Amino acid sequence: MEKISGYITKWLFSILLLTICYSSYSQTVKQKEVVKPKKEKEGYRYPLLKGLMVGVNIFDPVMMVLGKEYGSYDFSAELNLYNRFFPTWEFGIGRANTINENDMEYISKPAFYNRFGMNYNFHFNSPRTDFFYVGALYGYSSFKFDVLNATLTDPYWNYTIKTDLLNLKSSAHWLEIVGGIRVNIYKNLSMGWSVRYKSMLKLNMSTHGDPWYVPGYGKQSDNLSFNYSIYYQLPLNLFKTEKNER
Amino acid sequence: MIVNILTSCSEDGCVQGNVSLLTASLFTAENQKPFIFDSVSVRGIDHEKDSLLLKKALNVKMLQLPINGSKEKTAYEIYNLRNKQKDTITLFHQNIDYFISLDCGCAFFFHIDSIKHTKYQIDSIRLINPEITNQNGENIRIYYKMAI
Repeated sequence: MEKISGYITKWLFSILLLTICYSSYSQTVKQKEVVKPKKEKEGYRYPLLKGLMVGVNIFDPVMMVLGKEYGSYDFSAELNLYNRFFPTWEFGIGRANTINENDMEYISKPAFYNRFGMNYNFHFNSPRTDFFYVGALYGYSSFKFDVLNATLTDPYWNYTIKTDLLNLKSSAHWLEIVGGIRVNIYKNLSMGWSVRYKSMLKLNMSTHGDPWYVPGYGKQSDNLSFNYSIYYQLPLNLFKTEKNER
Repeated sequence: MIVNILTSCSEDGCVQGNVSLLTASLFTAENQKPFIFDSVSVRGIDHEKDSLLLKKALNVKMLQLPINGSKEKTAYEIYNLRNKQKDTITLFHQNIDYFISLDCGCAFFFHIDSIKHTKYQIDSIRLINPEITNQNGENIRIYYKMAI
């Protein structure tokens, strides 16, 4: 766990540094290119607690309807701070059910997962509510899987054994780097896509096998995933100040 | 089609391998230097067809042998054709059915509990790693007497 905490701290610190560097650079460029009143450059257009953004990923359910054999029902809740920082909690249920060419069936039973992290919106002072963001998330899932109708064979000793491996337990810790855009479609409703690069920190193997699918992460062998989500922002507008109101 | 494009970019076949072999390194008992069979044959004992795993193989520095996952004991006869010495090695093992991946399927992994052997040319056997998996690293070292 100490190793994982170390990784998380390093990643979050790196993201924080990147965002600070980018925002400083952006501000410098703006100062050179556009002459604006000092108050507008330094202030935030939006209040500290602008809202709570809730979202649902529609990509996986659609893909499962189209025949994908694994996926998750994925939800998110993000606090909108100055329209710039978004502490994020993502959660859901992931499952898989697939058969290989030898009729061996792999079943990952529906299991919960959680992801925690922070997104950063580069367009935080834009008058439009569309935004372009990057973020980092830590994910965890504990789950069980079955392998049915597996064949064990040896040509020399000349045996073929059929077996079922049931209730194999595993758990996983991973990190995700997220980048994406969101566009406002109506009032507080927005849609957007994101691309995620995932890195497995720790995968606890079962004594009888490696999981093929990890709820919330996807296929163990995959590092990239794609989300398309719908979001609704519940307005909070707390801690509103005169400076912030426009 | 769309689903395939979006979901199948990492289907890369069975890269891990699904065969678990006993890997035995060969050494001389006198000075612990690598031992090489000029010519050797190996067969599994109790094999129903009595067929050979190695037949008059030349310059053999290491043995990689399949284990009988349908039993908890596997025995081999190693026949040194140069000096006509035959030795028998018997492994007592646990069989662990293991899911490797969708592409590779399942395989037996093994845990070696103990080893017995005859002492015609074999001096001793040292257990290095009792876990036999599809990684196929060194499991045992067989020390041979040179003065025969």
